Amino acid sequence: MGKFITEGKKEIGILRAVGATKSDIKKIFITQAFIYVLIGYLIGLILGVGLNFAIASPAKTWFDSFINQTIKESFGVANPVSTSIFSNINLQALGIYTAILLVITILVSLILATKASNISPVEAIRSNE
Amino acid sequence: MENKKIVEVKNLTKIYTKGGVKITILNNISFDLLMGEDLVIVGPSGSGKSTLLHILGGLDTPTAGKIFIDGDCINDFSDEKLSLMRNQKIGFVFQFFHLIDYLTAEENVALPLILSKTNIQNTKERAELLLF
Repeated sequence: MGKFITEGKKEIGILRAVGATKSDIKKIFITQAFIYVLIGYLIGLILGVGLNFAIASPAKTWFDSFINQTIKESFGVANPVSTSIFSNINLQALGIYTAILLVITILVSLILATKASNISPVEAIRSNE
Repeated sequence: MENKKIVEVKNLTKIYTKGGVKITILNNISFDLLMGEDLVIVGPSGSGKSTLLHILGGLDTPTAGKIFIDGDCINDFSDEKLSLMRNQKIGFVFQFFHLIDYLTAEENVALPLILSKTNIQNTKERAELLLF
């Protein structure tokens, strides 16, 4: 996220020159950070849940055959295990990780947005000359 | 009305300190710019033209001296007031193309109006009018 400021310096200069206040810059940077994090979070969530479901069925088949053949043949007994463990999504853990991500995003975006808003307009403009 | 002072610069001085060395960029300059008047500032590279324009536009602060824009002394303006002044009274044409890459040409033109929270339809119409 630190790249935001370096890459956004030019934008800060332009925006300040046409009338953006420090607080406008802050809002823009916070919104940008949240949009990036939200996109990353949604991609991660879709990939994570999708992969979970995609892998669940082959993993269940392999596990069933491992229990029924290898374990049963070797030891004579096999304790059946619920195959739901392969496709279960722990909503509680998901909620905790989402909350942690949200807190980190708020903190980091606030720090970066404050830094960005404090850049002098002249410094920002000259960075692009 | 024609004699109204739009810009008034009084004893403006700008000194930068670089590595402990003081460099005087603008040394006690004064001038007035009247409404309807054109003013051209010429000088070699590094002579302080940009610094002067940055100070007049409220992007930089003077070391000494007073700046009046449209009758208001901008020296003690808050960030909000300076930003509003830039938005409503100053137009910058930069030496290099200062455009926001991810915005369209129309959005770049409309930027001051977007920042002033002008009605979206009016903003679009004015930007289109200026572009086409």
